[in-house]
Amino acid sequence: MRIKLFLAFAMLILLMGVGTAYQLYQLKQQQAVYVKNDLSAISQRLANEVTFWLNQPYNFFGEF
Amino acid sequence: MLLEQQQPILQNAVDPDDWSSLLFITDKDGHAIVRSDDQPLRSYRDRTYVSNILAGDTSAQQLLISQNKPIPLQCFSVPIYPPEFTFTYDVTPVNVDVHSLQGVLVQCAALEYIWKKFITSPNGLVKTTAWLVDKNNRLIAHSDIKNDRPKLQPLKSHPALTSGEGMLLKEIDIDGKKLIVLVSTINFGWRLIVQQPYAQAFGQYEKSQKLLLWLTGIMLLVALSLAALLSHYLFSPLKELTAVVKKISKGRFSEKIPYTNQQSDIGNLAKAIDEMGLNLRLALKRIRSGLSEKPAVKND
Repeated sequence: MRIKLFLAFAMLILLMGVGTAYQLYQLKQQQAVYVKNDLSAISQRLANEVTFWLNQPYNFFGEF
Repeated sequence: MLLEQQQPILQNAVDPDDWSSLLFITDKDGHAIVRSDDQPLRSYRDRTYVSNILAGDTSAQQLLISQNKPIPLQCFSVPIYPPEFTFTYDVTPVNVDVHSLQGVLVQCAALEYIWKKFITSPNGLVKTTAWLVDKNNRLIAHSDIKNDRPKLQPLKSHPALTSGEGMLLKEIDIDGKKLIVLVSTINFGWRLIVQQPYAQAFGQYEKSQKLLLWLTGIMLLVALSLAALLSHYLFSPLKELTAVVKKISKGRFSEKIPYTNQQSDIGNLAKAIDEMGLNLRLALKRIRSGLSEKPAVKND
């Protein structure tokens, strides 16, 4: 009986551990998405600035 | 048009404070014939942005350090053809003969415009660093270099530069410092690197992870304590009652049964054992008294 109780308890702890690990994994995935979005937004803004700048001479040539 | 008349037009077209800092025209041999500034006229045939046009390209560009002022420049060029050619810079003209080329129109832009955009780039909650490098990994702009303009020095130490094309999110280690880096490719093979310290980017996650591990630890301790209490409450009475039942089975009916006062399943079990002991004692008494009377009856 004691062994059964011990096993049940061990299973419960194992389940708790698996649940916590899964939650942490999900949390990290979510944070990675936030970080990627943040970096993408900054990168996109700077890329737009550079592309705008690089296109200026061609616009100018077109009008010249 | 006379050359003397062209210079004021070029001078009016440039704006040194903006993206356009120099305009000049070369002849069909690549020698400058007029410039927007007053620098001496020289041959630019050795420059890629001129030689490529002379070889028949419809547009060319080159990133370089200016000879007159030591500042990085991006020079763009297009060919000049006779008026009968309908030409746009990005479409190859039909039946264009390189021999018809009359010259090259060049416009150079100081990279300070880009550099200033990088150093004034606002940071959010997390400190972000941005780098811009050309296809040869020369540094064009860096958000942290505020006092000294980039000199197109080759940048080879950054691990993110070994990545391929497209947009990539990487975790890298520089001098033991973990960073999260996004690399993207833009025009002319230039690459944009945006990075944040991992500890700050994932700060919220690290906090949540710590909290979750603490909570799990506390829950584990509570569960262990409850299990120990439950085990003691459940098994100790059973153990004691088992010992008493064993004594009763050996005829020791005077044993006091514990837990008979408890209003629980253990209490009910203890009362049942007590009752069983009492009944056994009475039954045994009857058997004994029956056995002692029987021989007398037999003798009668």
